[in-house]
Amino acid sequence: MTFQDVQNKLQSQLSSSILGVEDVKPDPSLKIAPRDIVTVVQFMKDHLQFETLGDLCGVDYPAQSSFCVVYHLQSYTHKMVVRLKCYLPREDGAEMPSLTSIFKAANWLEREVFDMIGVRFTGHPEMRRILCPEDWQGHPLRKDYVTPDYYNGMPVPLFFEDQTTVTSGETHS
Amino acid sequence: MSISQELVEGRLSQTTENLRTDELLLNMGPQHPSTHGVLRVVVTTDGEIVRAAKPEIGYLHRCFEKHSENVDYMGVAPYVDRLDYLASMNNSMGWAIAVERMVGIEVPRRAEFIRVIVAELQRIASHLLFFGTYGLDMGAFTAFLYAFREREKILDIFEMISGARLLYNYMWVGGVSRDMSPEAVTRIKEFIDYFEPKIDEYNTLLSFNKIFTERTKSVGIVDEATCHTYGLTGVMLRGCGVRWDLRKDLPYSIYNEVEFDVPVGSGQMGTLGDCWDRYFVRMQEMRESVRIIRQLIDRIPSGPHRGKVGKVVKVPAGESFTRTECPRGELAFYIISDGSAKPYRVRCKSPCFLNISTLNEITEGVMVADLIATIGSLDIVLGEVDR
Amino acid sequence: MTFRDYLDVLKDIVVSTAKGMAITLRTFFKVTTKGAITIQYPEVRDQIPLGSRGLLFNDVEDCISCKQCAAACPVDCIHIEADKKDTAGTPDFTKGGVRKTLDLKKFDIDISLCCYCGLCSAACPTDCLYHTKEYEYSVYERDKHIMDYLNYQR
Repeated sequence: MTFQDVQNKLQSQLSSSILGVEDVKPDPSLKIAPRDIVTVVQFMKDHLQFETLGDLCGVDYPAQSSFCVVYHLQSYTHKMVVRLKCYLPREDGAEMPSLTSIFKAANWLEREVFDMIGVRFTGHPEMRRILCPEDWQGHPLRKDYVTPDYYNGMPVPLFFEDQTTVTSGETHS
Repeated sequence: MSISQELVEGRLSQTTENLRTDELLLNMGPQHPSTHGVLRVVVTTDGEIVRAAKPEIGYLHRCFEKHSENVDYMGVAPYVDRLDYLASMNNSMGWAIAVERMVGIEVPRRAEFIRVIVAELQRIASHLLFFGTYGLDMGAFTAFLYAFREREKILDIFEMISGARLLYNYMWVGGVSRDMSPEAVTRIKEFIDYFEPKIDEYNTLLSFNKIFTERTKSVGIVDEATCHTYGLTGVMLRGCGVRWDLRKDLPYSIYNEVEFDVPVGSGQMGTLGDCWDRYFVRMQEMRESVRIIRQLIDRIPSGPHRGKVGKVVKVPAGESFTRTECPRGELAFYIISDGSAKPYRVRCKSPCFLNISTLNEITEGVMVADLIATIGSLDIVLGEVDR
Repeated sequence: MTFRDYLDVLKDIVVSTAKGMAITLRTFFKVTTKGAITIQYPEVRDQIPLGSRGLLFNDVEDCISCKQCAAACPVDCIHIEADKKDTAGTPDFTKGGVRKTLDLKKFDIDISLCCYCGLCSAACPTDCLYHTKEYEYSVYERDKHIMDYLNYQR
């Protein structure tokens, strides 16, 4: 099975959910309507033998004013990975349906997307931060994220007496 | 009223009913010797039975993905080394292959040979560390010393090849940073000849020791359905009998030219997919790695060790998702490039992150000592879990 | 489990442990007769192989202030300041014969930030910045880890 086959099958069965193909090199990806992601993934799992959720991550596109949630579905039968993309409006309350009912791997991966990008997943059992502390402000992987000066009274980034800094990449030239 | 009086009046059963039994919340870690790093597990225990074991991660978060957006493609390589610091070579191989795939760089044959040899040596070193520390978790100290004696030899070879002992930055985009000297080749040959019989020694020492097998058999069972729903890869998947190895099924580099078997769990000690199966798959993988090295070491072709790559790697706009087989599972890099010198977004899919997320499910209702056995058999490296 | 099974388990434990102990004993005799693997560190030192990446050193005589090392450094621990050289004076050359057009005013490396990746020394066009084999340089104050190679003393 190739990417083309997957695309054809999905388009014939769930044509309203497929918004198009992003023909990026070297691997293309499918654009999915965010509200239909559960249906599409369930269909791919049940009928196209995509057994595993390989990866789930979020990308911030401030230029297009959108968030993108990227799903990589992995198939052992067909030895391939198919990428699904959902574009959301770039706002603080952006929401996506959760995939935890289909893949349990989505539990932690969705928590990480919430932590890093700030997309909330509806229907997720515990939507809280995973890598950053619970009381951390902001979502670090957004492009306009500014490292806070202080966290609980501790300076961030850490300043030494001689003003050399240990930064988290923000002041990188 | 004294107890004897209660006994006479037959009221003792009533008093035991009145005893307060409660679930105990136990905080294991972040600084605990058997968690292999800064992992905190919040364990709810009912006596000796574990009711829930929730891992809390993030103590070693180093913003790898944010850092990568601010350095060029070559500069990401040292950060990649620090993900899974026990298998740096395999990590940087994954990164190099991911970038090469986007740019379309042809890697010289010699570099491919060196890469595979070094990656397999690193796999042995990583599994040796697992073997040692797993013995330590089970209370067998001797195995640890044996494992570190052998690992030291591999690290010496790596220092000779790359100049560093733990974080090598050896595999660069387009090839390897330095050529492998003939002395290093001799050292590797000596090492594999020395090491192969030692695996049998380890099996006698630990694998088939009755105390060890009793501790690990039928503990922490993972079946195929759990693997698929949690996205588990690598040894976790092979331990439950699924013959899936990216080196075999979707060969990258020159893995299609070498012969090797993919060991899977057999359930010969207890249940299929238990801790012992996962442990033994790793032991067998060391033997397969030796086999791969033996096939390649004598026929390293001559030629350049690095392809034609500019000082700054120019990556065309695009997206790629590249998976490689690391000692702990499938490590994947999802790179989004916008055509500039720095990546737009780098996503590292770490196998340990998903492996540790199963802990709560597979340890429900086991004893506290079995929880330690299960955490050990997941073989997590917190540097990769937290990134 | 019957009593007989229990005895079998006990027998297995004794036999398999004895096998393991035999290996330990063999190793013990090997170590005592042929010498130990462990070395007495401060007195005896391991041979550091050629090309091992230790403390960075910059030979400022050969440096042409091109700043390629600072650009390659992923952690930004190299700080270079250079002025335009006075063209009226006698031309200054490196040992390799490259003409120096800039006057190096500052070449500092914060060794406590350095991650020993070797990208800077690989980028250096005159090979003046390189890793030495030195690996013991702990100091009491953090400032002392900022290496000023123009006034280098150790």
